[in-house]
Amino acid sequence: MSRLLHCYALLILSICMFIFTESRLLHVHAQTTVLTPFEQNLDRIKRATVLVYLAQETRDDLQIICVGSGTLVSRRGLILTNAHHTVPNDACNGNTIIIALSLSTEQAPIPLYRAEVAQANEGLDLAVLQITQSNDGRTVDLDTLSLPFVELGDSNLVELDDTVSVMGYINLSADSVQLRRGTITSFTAEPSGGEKTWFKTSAAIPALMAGGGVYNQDGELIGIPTTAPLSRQTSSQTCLVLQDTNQDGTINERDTCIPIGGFINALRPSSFAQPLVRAATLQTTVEVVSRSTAVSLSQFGFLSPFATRFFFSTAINEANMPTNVITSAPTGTRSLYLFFDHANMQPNTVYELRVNTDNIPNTALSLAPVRWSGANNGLWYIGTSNQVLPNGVYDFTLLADNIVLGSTTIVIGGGAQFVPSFSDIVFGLADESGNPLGNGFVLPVGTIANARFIYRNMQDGLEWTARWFFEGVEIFRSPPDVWRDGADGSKTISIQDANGLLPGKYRLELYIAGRLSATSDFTLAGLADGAFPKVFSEPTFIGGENQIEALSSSPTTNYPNTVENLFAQFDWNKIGTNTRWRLEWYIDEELFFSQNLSWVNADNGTQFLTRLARSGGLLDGRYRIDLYIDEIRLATNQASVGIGQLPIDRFADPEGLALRGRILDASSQQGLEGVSFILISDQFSVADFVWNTSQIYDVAVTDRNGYFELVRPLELSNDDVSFPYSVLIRSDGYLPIEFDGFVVKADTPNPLELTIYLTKGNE
Amino acid sequence: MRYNSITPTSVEDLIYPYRRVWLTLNLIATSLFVIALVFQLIGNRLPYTQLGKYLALLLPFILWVIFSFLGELRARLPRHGLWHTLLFTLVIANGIVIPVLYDVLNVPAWIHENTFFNKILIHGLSMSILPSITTYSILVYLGRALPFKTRLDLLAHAEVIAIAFSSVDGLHYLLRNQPTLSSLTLYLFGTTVLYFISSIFAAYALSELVFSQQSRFFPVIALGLGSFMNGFIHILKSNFTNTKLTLSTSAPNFLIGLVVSLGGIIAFSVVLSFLMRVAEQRQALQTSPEKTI
Amino acid sequence: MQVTDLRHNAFTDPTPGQRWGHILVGVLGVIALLTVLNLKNATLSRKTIYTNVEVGITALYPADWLLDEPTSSADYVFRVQNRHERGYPTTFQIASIPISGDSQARSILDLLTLQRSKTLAAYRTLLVEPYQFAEDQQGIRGLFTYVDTAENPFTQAIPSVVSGVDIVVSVGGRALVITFISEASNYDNNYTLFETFLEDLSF
Repeated sequence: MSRLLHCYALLILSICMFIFTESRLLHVHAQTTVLTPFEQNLDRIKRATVLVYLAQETRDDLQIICVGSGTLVSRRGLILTNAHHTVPNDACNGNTIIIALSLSTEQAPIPLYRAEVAQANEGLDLAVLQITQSNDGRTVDLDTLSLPFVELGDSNLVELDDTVSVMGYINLSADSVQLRRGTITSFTAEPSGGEKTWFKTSAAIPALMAGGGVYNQDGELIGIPTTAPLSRQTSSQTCLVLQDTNQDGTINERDTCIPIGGFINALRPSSFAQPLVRAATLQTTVEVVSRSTAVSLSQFGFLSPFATRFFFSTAINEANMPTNVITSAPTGTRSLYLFFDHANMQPNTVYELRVNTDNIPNTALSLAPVRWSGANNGLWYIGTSNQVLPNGVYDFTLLADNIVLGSTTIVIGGGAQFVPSFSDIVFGLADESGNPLGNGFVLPVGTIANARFIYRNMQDGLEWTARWFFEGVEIFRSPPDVWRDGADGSKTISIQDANGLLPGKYRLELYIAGRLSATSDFTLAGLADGAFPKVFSEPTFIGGENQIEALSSSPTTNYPNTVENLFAQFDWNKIGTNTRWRLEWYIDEELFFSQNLSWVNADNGTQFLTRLARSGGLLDGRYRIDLYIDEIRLATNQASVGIGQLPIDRFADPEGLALRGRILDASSQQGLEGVSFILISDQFSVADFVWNTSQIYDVAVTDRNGYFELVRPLELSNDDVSFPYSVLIRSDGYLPIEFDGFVVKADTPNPLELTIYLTKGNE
Repeated sequence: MRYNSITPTSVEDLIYPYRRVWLTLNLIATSLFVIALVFQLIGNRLPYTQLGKYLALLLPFILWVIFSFLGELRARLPRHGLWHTLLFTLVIANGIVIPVLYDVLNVPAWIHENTFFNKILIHGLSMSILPSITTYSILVYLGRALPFKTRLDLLAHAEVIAIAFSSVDGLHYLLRNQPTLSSLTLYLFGTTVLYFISSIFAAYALSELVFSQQSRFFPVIALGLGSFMNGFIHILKSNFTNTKLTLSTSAPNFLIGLVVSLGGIIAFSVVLSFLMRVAEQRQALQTSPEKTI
Repeated sequence: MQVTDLRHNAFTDPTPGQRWGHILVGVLGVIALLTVLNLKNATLSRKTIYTNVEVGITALYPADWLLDEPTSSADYVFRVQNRHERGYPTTFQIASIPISGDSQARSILDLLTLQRSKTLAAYRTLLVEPYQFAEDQQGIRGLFTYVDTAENPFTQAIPSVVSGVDIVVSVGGRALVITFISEASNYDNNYTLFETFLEDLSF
């Protein structure tokens, strides 16, 4: 008996030793590091960054032509990238787009999918791709595709000195996704996007990162690094030779190389990409049905781009017109715009602005080679604002396709000069007092057009003149006159034609002593509706399988979501040929289509048609059409489809905690393949679970190593709201794991890696 | 040369010449507990070979040899036939019991789809009662040839039957899975305790029927109750042991399982040893002195 | 110390009571075995009832299989999967396809083949033969196989060979496509479950 007691005493001692030891060796503390929003999202952002190949595929060969970066912007495989390395062009002439993903953020990407261009704007150099096939050619079921993606942020909220992070690839298949940090150093203004048409950054971005993503500190995509198509120079640092493209048995400089070289610092704001992404998500095509087939000669590329009439201004108005014309600027000038007339510019024209300040390159004002996003012909500006420009001599040189189009110089410095000047020209129809009425830049067609301008520091006796142009041709010049209206004030002048002024584009130039002092363009179009032009009738909506059927239908503003084609029609009055106008489509107040067009139809007409089309029926929502001339909205209307609101996509939010981990056998310590990890919605407990998918938040199945990951991020709980998920792991032959109250918070490591051991049922 | 002395060497030998079975049974269980504990502590820090795992299968047998068989040799009146029982049970276990439990019934695969009470019922009617009845049957069968003179003779043979079951079960476990050495020792301890409990109830039931002239229904009731209690211990152990999810590593709590199993065998040993001792004393009072040899 | 009288050995010469005791233990063993077999059968064959009034089907499927009734447009109206089975989850699925009077069940099968070939790797139809439902309903049965690949490219799941059966039967103005899919290595075991499912299916 005493021996038994001795044994049991030994046993108790062993247990105590073990408990003490286990508490030191085996207890694992969960990490509670608090991460910044960008760091919390960093893993997801890295996974969402892809490498995009444009290849030429023949029956038995695949040759890579161009490469760039891209970013997944939806779980269904939409990728935002540049157009220059995805839409076939002279520099990148491929027919197959291949998408490579980094399966591990520490490894180089692996080609997995094929994609097609869903939406593109070559001028903006943006494209949205849609993954369509796996790399073996099988069609991908988009309903089952759940890829990590990023959310587009509001690029209009970006400010100078904001820290940004650029994500992309710098090498072909050798390196993992790379991060470059920098700050926003300046904004570049252009008519296509206003003050923030381009961001400039201090980050040195390798050219292969073009098409990747630029992120703010909240992990939102606010820009896309953009550059002109890279050239195939012979330098190995800028052009890699990978394949024996000429089939001579060796890979050398005689083979076609893939351009990768250089550095870029121009970022296209994400606000330009939003409509493209939205349109690709909606899978809705917009067609301008009534467009004439007439095209201008310049579209054939026979004529080279050229630019004339370079001048500077310090401010622009809502119609993108200069408010003044300056030849020098005082110390402390915060904004400067270079204006010029251009012609024969195409979307694939690569233009560049080089600015030197006192012979030193000024990267803030310069614009690296990028594609042209404006019209073929017209008035354009490139400028900057909201930052003090240092004193100096500024030399501006504009190039297109590496050819100098023109150059000009301005001196900034010295005190403010009180020189006689004209500014702020607006146009309209004069009232009894002689003040122009109207919207300022689009006038109804009539016999007279008035212009009012402000004058400062004028001296009586100064010679001044006004020149009027129609479609670039001078039609009237006021006889040289001396000034008699005092030093400061406003003055109204007009142009008249008893036979009626023709509809179209007009220009007014005001000169003081032979020097251009102010200029602005305006458009005559439409019938007079008081002082305002009635150019377009209110658009109406009609449905039908085709144009003929639609035109015989009665217009209405409510349609079922089974309708696959929705037409909008409007009449028009007195629109001159080549008048620039813009068509925009919105859904639930979100823009998804915007196109600038040149009017090539008759001056007057009815039933101009534009069509929305979607296979399977248009999505529910409120669809609105807007018509513009010179940035002035002249007509609008909207119609509802279905319930009049886009259905809520519960997977649309990429934010949240990523959950992944391993499930292993407790006895063998090996990963278990094929085990389902079921995360039950926070609305139900395990006891409530009746094995219905409607109760499930997400399910993951382990791979050959026992590794699993949920594709849907978990919502974070806080003091105000809690999301208590439940976990169920059940596998034949093993004890089930059931757990209620699975809560994750902001301080939970993201991604959260779990290691779970399953015990066999007979142990 | 071993010999039996004509005169007893000590007073205690005169009173009790046999090996103390309850003590050695619990020593075996406790030793397996300690070994399993140690290997859990060591974990996978030492390299193990497959040969090492096969050698580990012999642990219950080796401990039985150390504590029981060698103890038997040292006893005044050693029991005979233990090897016969061992070999016979190895055949029965490998040929009938283990295949029935794991292939025909395949209880571990589906038992956990039931409620807690149903799991106890199922475990009791399968994993507990079948080895129990098999032990009973083997003892009845071998009783024709082996001299079972006391209750503890039955217990000693039941003990070796349990060792045989455990060894075969462990071999099948090793062949069907790829356990680590620590998991294997854990499993061996668990199954040894399971079969020990089954066997001691079988020995008790048979001893009461044979030596105490209990009712014909007594074995059925004893085996039934014992199996359900065994099932309860086992299901309770698996519930406590099963992984509880955490935000990092979620592993089974084997320590509680070890303690529950060891507690079970000790508790049942204490109870049944008390019952058997009381029954023996009652029987001694009922029997007249002249019948004693 | 108590020694049994060797003149009476309960094992070689048991009393009637002892003999009955042994027999009753044997009976207990048989009862236990049968009870456990019954419980096993009851556990493994537990069923859940499913009714879809719109499509007009009533089915019994194994309990604790994951039920999926898609609310949006999907190519099936009912699907259950065995999610506690390792490997490809055994699936029972029912789709309802509107057909015209000229459509035949065989053409539905061909259509399925064409559609699935686009998205499923190595999809092959192995066999097409008539199938006789209970209640004198003639259908057509197609056996197919393909390789299932993981949806998530970030895991290292090994593709698995999957086999399945489509049974197409015309009911009114529509075709019911009853599909069974299982991991090829476990096909025969799981097919017995599908046969039970078919027996309990009514439409």
